[in-house]
Amino acid sequence: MDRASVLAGAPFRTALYAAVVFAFVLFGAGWFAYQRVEAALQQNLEAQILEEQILLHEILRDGGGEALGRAVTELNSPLSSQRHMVGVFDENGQHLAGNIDLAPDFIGWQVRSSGERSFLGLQDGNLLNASLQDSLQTVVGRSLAPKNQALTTLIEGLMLLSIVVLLTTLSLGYVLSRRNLLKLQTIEQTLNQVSLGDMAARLPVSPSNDQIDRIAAQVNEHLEQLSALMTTTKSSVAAIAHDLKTPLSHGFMALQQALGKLERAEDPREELENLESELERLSSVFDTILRISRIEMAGAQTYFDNMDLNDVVSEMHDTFAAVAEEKGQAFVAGSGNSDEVVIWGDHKMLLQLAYNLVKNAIEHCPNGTKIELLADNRDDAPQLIIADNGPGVADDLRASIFDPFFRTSSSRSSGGNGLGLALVRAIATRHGARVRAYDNGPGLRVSVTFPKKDKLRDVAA
Amino acid sequence: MKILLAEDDAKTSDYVSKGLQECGYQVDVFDDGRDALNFCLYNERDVVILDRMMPGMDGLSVLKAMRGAGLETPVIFLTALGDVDDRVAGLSAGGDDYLVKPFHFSELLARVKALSRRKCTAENTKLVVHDLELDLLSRTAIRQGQTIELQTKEFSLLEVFMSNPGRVITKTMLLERVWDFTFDPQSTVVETHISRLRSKIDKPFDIPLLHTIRNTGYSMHGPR
Repeated sequence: MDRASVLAGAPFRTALYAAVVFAFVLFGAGWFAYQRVEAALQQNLEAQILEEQILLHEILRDGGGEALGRAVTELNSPLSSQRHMVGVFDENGQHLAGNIDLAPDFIGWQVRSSGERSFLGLQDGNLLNASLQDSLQTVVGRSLAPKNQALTTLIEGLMLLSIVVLLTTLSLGYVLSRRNLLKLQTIEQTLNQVSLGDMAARLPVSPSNDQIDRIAAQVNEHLEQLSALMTTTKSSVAAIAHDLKTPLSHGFMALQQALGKLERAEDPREELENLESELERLSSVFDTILRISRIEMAGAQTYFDNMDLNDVVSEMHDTFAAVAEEKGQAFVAGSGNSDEVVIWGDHKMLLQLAYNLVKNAIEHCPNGTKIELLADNRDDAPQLIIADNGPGVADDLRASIFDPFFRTSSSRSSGGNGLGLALVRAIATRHGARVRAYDNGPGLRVSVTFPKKDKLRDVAA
Repeated sequence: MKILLAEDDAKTSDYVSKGLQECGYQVDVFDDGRDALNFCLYNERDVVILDRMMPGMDGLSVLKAMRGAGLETPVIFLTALGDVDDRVAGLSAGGDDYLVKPFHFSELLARVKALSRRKCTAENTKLVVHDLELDLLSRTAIRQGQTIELQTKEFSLLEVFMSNPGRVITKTMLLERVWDFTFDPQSTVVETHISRLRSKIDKPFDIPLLHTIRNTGYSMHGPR
């Protein structure tokens, strides 16, 4: 994997920013802590020295020079001699007691440096305090080494902490960035596969459910819909090709026969009429496909108005009662318990919807069947229902009857183009209505349920 | 009879103009909407046939300009667009009829004839063809003194036929005028209702009035 791509990844950059910010914060906080600790240690050191000076002065006042000498010798135990200094001198600067040999040339505070500087430039050496009491000069000192040691430890600790945190942050950023990059590369590869036609390719979704996973899940969902759409489109195109091919080849045959008859000086009228009717069938398939796509794509509801579904039902009765009777079927049309079944719709489209439903029922039912068309308000929702006690449709096929070019094997022989119910669904969808097919035990029952009245306008808008 | 045909598809305009000329019409053909409009503004024609989509100016605009200039010449639209919306838009702009491609020439001819004679149709409450009478107010038919019961669609069919005695009415024209359907021209609905109507107005009597014109439609007239 390309390291530059990993380092350019968002998680690594975030980690880098975090590390820089952390370093600044740590530097500031460390400096503050250092100042406070340094001041506290210095104060402590000075307090110890002053306390000892006061002690020495008290001993001198109470016991005189000799007592002081003894006390200094006792104080000057060999264990602490390296860091603990004390010295007593007379007025001529003569050394009387203690481990400081040279009389001080000052009164007050002074740092006697060893000239060396330790880690981080801390001055090494001793802090001394000299004072004059009853013509005796006392000097008390402490080594700066313990204080410096403490400060060094503090600084070392802080530096170690920051190095560990920085390294951890950056490594974490690198690992996350690498993982994201891997995921993105997989996504890229998968989408490439899809664009090359592999509609079954899906993005991996890890259980961590991070942003990329959620996007991947969403992309998968879209791919699912897309592939379903592609499948439908492919099968529709295949069905269109098949449905157009049949009348085309029939027409072609009729034309060949007509030409043959002409050569034999016979009358080709019958064949030409066959050709004409095949071409008409082709034309009607095209018309219906165009009509469906226009209904599906239409935006404005120019011819929509409040209308009573009962008008549609009675129009269907006037139109189809005679047709059904000729086929030996009974066609009953009526309204349920409602005087008015008002919907917001396009009257002509709904005439066609009802027409296709009734025509479909009449065509697919044998004689002796009863076909019923009903408009009613059920649970405030206007409904158009058509029910028959004919052969019905098998359970597994029932949902597909509204698909374009779908035909049951028994209906294949009839002259329909397999688009009638697809048009019904397109018109219903345009009206915000739902079409459902049920088993009528026996027979088929199709309901078109329109939006509830209070929602009429919303759907229309 | 003079007809203006504006159609940019050469095959269609050839097919239509030849057919009309064979029937004795004088036809001027244009393939551009603007030219067609200019021509009919200065030359009176009995019927104008307009394609909906043309270069220069589309059919709907030509019609609007014609009506705007006060021309009342009957207009038939030809179109590949068969949708209800297109049809309504064409008719509401002042078009008189609307024909979807592909169409039978006989279909166009029937409509041209119906339009060119429309002016003479008088408003009447009683229609008479030979010995058949149709009262539009009481919605009853009487033939040779016998009252005939008619269903809604049968009455409407009879009204269309008797308002156009002797003229050919195509199946598509019947679907449009009686059912207000512009779809399913292959439907058997028309045949069924015609056959029912026949069994009422013709079958019980000696002379048939409603005649089938092969491959075209129907025509109602008395014995010739």
